[in-house]
This record gives sequence, C-alpha cells and structure tokens, in this order.
Amino acid sequence: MNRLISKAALAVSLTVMTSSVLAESQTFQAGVTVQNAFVLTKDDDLDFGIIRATADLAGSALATLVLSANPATSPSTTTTDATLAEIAVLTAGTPASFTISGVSPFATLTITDPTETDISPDAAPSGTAGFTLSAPTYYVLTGATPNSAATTTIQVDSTGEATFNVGATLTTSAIATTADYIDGTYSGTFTLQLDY
Amino acid sequence: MLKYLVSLSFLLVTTAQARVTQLESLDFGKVVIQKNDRVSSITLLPSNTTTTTNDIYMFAKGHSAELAFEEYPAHIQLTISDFVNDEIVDNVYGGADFILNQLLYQNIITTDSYGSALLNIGGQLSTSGDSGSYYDGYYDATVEITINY
Repeated sequence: MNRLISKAALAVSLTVMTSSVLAESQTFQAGVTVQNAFVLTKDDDLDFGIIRATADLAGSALATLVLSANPATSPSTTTTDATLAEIAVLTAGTPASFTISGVSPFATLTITDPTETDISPDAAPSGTAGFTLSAPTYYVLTGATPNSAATTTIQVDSTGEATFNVGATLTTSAIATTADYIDGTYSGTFTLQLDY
Repeated sequence: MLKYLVSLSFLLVTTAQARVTQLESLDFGKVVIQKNDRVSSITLLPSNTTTTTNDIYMFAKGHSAELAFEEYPAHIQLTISDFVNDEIVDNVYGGADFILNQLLYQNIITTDSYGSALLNIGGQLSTSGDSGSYYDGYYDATVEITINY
C-alpha cells in the first residue's frame, strides 16, 4: 500500500511540473509587394491620312485638319484664308491607339498632354513647309468608361486595363517658308505621359 | 505493474513537444503607392479584410499570417503577445521604407482536445509619408510573437 501511495505521489508531481507557466517565441515573415510601374503600349501611330495641302509661305494664313480620337467622327478641316492655306482630305486617317495594362483595378490615370510637335517632311529640300501637331484629344474604347471622350484622366477597368485613341489637330506652317508642300511623307514624334 | 504504467506516462509527457508551424506569412498584398507626401496605411484584419487610407491602392489583396499550434496540452489558454511597435519593413534595393505599426490578432486562444489551435495575425502597415520614392519589389521584415501558457 505504501508503495502504491508513493507511485501516485510521483505521478501528481509530474503533472504539476507540466502545467507550470511556459513561454515560447515564434517568428514569421510580414511583407508587401509594391508595383507602381504599369505598361502603356502604342498599338497604332497617329495617321492623318493622305491630304492635299497648301501653305501660306508668309506663315500668316493657317489651315487645319482635325482628326478626332473618336473613330466614328469624320475628320474636319478649316482655314483662315482658303486662297492662301488649305487642307483637303483625300484619304481619311486614323487616330493613334494605346493600351494600358498592369494597373490596379479601377485606378485613375492622369494624362499629360504631348507638347506641340513639328511634323516635318521626311525627305525635302530645306525651307519646305511643315506642319505642327497640337490639341490632342482622347477617346476611351475600353476601360471603366468605355466609348466616351476623356480630357484629363482615364480610368481602367476591373482587370486594370484600358484602351484609348488619341486624335489631334494638324496645322499648316505658321512660319515663313521658301517652298510649299511637296508630295511625300511628313512625320514627327510626340510623347504621351500617363501617371497614377 | 503500476510502476511500469507510471514510467510510461512520464515518457509520453516529456516527449510531447509543443510546436508552432507557420502555414501562411503575413502578406499585405500588392500595392500601388500613388504618392508619399503624407502617411498612408493598409490595415489587414485577421479575417483578411483589408482597408486602405490616403494614397495606397490595392493591386492584389494579401492575407493574414496563419500559425498552427500543435502538441500543446488540451483545453488550455495560450496568451499571445508581441513587441512590434513601428518596425521597419524594407527591401534590398533601398528607397522609402514601410512601417509595421502593429500586429492584429486574438490575444488569447484555447487549444482543442488534441492540444491544437490556429491563430490568424493581421497588421497595420504605413508609408513613411516623407515624399521618398518606393521602388517596385518586395518589402519584408521578420516579426516575433510570444506564446505563454
């Protein structure tokens, strides 16, 4: 009997030891991923089409061709003096198109307009008239507000994507030149910037 | 015979090793820092609900940490605590750092009849707000909790 009590006492003693206060520590990782960069892809260049153009060699009379960003809108022309400067559309052009991707869902991007850009003859004698490109316009094809004009911002959709067109106004030379337009291609490069 | 039974019982108690296993790390997700001229924050609750303030935008949601407690005594309370207080969360490329303001979790959990329990840990993360730039990439820190029982 005494031996039995002794064994029972040992068992109680062990139980008390395992129920004493213990402390342990455990580490784990906490992290976050930053993705501020996104992708802006040019799908198509801005093409004013094939035109007949006359420049005022004095650079005072101006003719313009407005190519809308909305693909359903036809191009339009104006002139301050048709006898001196004129643009006529022979074959309509197409607006530039861009795709945005890799943006957080429904984020709004701010547009920074391109600066006025010279559109110069790709091959012509010095002094030949050129054009200027200005007044960009924007038309959202897909995104949070599809099929709508945009002015200063574009909002992407739930997938973080949007597509949009860029139109602009082509204006005949506003500076004095020595030679009118010659047949050929005229081009220039502009920069479009979008920011969160 | 009783002697053997008592000896066996002792052996079982001493070899049962309480352990904590990290099933998930604490991941605040993928974010865009639009600007950093004021403090912005993400709060990720243990339930995985995320809220943001000011100039942080969620690109992809994250998840709370999940820790499994095993081989503890059955039906006991585990008291969880930590020393996190504005801990730096940085990346290897430099730039502005994030600040882990606090961890969010249930301070006391109870083990089940098998001596097991699960704990989800969220937290609050803030930007520096000092106009510093955040580079794209992964920012992390190692945090520690203490378990008392």
